[in-house]
Amino acid sequence: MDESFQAILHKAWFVVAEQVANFLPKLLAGVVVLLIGFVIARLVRGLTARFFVAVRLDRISDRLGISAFLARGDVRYTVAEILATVIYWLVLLLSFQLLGLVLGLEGLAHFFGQILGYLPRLVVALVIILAGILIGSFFGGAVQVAASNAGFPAAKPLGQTVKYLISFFALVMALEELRIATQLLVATLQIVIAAVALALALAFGLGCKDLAGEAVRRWVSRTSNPSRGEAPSGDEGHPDVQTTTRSSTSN
Amino acid sequence: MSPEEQRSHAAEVEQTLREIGRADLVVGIPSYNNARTIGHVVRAVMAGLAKYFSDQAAVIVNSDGGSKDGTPEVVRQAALGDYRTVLATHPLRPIHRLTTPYHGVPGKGSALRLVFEIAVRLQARACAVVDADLRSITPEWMDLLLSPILREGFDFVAPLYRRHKYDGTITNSIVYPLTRALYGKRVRQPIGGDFGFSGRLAAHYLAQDVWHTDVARFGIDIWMTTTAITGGFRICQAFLGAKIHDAKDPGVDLSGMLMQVVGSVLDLMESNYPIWSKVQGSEPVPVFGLEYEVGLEPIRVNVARMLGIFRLGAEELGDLWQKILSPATFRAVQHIAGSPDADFRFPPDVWVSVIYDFALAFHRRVIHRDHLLQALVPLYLGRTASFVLETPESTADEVEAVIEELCLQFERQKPDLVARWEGQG
Repeated sequence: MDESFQAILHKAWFVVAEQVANFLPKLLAGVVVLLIGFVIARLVRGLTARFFVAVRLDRISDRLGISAFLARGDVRYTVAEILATVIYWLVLLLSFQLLGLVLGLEGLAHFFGQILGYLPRLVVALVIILAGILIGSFFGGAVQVAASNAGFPAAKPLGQTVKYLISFFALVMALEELRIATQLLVATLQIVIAAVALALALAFGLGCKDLAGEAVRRWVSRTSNPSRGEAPSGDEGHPDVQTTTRSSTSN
Repeated sequence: MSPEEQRSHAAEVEQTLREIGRADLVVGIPSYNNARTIGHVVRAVMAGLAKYFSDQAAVIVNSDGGSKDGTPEVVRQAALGDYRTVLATHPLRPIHRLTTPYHGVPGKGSALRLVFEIAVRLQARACAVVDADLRSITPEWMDLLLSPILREGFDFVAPLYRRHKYDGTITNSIVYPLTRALYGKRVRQPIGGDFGFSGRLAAHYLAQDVWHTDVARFGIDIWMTTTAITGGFRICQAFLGAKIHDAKDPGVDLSGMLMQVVGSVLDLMESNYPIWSKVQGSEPVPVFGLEYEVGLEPIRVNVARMLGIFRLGAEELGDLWQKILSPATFRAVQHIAGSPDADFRFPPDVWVSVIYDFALAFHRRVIHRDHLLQALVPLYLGRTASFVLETPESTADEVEAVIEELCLQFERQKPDLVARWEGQG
């Protein structure tokens, strides 16, 4: 009885020791892979940062307005730093995948493999969103200043609408790139647009009922009696200064 | 013009230039649909060259932007007629005339680039450029623009005109005071459009790599003046009398012209910082020609419209102005926008702060540069409205005193601009 108990213990210990002995080299290899990956990641980050400095990426991003855009979004890193950090994490993710393979943890390796496989789509989606925000900001600003200078009284809301619409379309495109269901978003957008159109139609119909009626009455009256003209509109000029034909622009 | 016609025309121009060989004087007339006025300009230039430079070989170059109204034909057909009506003696040498389309970005700058090329090619000693829409040009303009170069050794002659007090407000409120404060030279009409320059300076202009920028359009005038100053060339002014030219439609011209001119001034500030940051005060520039008073066409301005756009800008562009202007300047502008018409004033110190804040924001790219320049339009209209309301009964001298005070304010506040520009790094 004692012998068999000792034998069982011995056998169990032997099996555990064998498993540990088998796993230790893998663990060691895994640690080495992680360390090497970490060192390479840091090295690559340093080299790419230097490369970006050498090619004056920050100056280029300054000129393209990307730095100002990041600053406006409270991002306190330069474009070169951001790109170098992205590359650093890419190398680290590769190391984690390799770690899973070395340790024989297929689930872990598969998980990081999937993340790495998904990254290109993520990058494309990010670029789409960034471009959408930049283009939205540009056109929104352009519409705002142009409308204000043309005397349009709701220039700011108009500019904001253009900006957010373009950003929203970019978001939908990015989600499509990420293969995230966009049908719900598109349906929501359609409902919002339809609701706005309906609200405008109702507001116009109810609010301008009398005006529209008056306009139609005048039109009918004019077409039935063309000799009657309208009274001239008032001069919008300043009382002290005559209306302009050639104002303060010729230089 | 088809490619085949273009090639044939280019060959013809090349042949003419070979035949001419060398010329002492080149006069450029950039044009685009100026058939109505260019005939008078060509005749005045021809008369001026024949009268004052009869012993010099001269070439008139009409650099055209593809006019559809027959401008080149008018140039070719323009004749002085009977020389005896304007000249005591018959000119000794013929005046050549070239009319040719230019290539590149459509605009006055590209047109003048072709004039520079021809001037360098013909080894001209002195050159002049005059606008094709001038109605007040006389033969004396040629003497005034070319003689300081040929006889006094100057390299650049800027025009000096008598203008109505409400004409040239971009010049009076921004370009002249800012250029004077930055570069220390009192060139009264830095974007006048009619200049004289030496062959040496034409070669210097041609060597610059700016022909894809706003310089190729309206920015050419301020660029020529600034480049002459910063290049260390000898500059002077010539009094040309009245400047009467085709009226421009403010609705069409204002935004584009303000953007291109002010954009060029601010662009030049970037590249010339090492020069202008060291300049203190300003000095007068010599003037040639006898100054006299002239009758001027009245200019009518719509103050109500200007105030309306300024106040609308304060409401609708407030978020943009807040990014561009310093907090104190922004508060001052909002206060001005809230004042009633009767008391409406845009003080010079606030206006100078606005311009310097915009220059810094342009430098730092706080917002897209096109939007920044457009956001300046309502402020400019506010300042112009204030200027009109301040000077309804003022004489030309009194108005000039107001402009002089504005210039001094630009000079007084410049050290603060330099400190903030450097602080940004």
